[in-house]
Amino acid sequence: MKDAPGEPLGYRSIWSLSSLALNLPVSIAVGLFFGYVLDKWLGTKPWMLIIWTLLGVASGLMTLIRGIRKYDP
Amino acid sequence: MEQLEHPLALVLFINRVFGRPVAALLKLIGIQVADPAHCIPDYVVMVFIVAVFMMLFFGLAARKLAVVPGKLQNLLEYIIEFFEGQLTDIIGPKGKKFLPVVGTVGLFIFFCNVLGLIPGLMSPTSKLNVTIGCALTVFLYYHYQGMKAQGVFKYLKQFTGPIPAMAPLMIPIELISHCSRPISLSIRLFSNIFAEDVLIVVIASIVPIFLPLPFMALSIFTAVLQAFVFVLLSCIYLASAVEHEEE
Repeated sequence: MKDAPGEPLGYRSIWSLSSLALNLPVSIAVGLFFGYVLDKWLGTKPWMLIIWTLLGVASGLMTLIRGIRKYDP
Repeated sequence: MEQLEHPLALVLFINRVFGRPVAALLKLIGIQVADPAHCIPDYVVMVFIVAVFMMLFFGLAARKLAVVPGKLQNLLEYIIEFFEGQLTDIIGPKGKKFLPVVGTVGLFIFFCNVLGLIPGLMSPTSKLNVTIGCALTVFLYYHYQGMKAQGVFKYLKQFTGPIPAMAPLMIPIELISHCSRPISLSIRLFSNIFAEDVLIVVIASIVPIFLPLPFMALSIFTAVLQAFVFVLLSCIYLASAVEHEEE
């Protein structure tokens, strides 16, 4: 995980970085799912869906930025 | 893809022997089975094969430990040391205590991936149910270890973020980010192994002799790699749960 600055990325960093690609769509999908379930439960169609999808986008971006910042502080 | 799948002889046999007793057991807990003769899915049979193989193989290998290790013991020690190395590199010296769960999940996934190369068997990891099971195990385990290491309240406080005023926004965001972890873990493993299996089937249906061999060799590489990526990400999640806040 902890590569020294200036050194080429180790194999571990490459695999953990490659996992970031899936994170963004999955976060949005999870947010969408939560919103859909909450809408059904609370009867607030379509507000929860919209809010939680946006939260999913934010969460995906945050995970992406956090993941990248480890290697480029 | 449905026409590519055909019932495996072993699965049919297991269903013929155990199908009705299992259906009767399920009926006891209130689950009605539509077809008692085919109620055990193929991946469950394969998972049991892997589990029994691992228990027998590692159980027997651990019995005959010698001071001067033989070939098999050497290999097994190397595997255990590899897992230990990953854990101590990522989590630190206290990472060694996670070896039983992380090592078991890693080896289980590896054997599941490789099982598909044996004719007449299939990779159970090419079904989403199995990979979700593995990912959920890791998900629950790292939350449990995080709560154990930091205390329940302190661990949950992490989800609120550094600024208390931002908590209503940060809690759902963190909730989504944590829930997306097991899903991305399981989808990655499932899609890689499924794609690899389909590729081999398609190539074998075009030219059945010799041509599938390079792809099967490649799939050994994928099997190792996917098991490794799963272990690596589990270690990273464990590290983030056990360590104190990074920010």
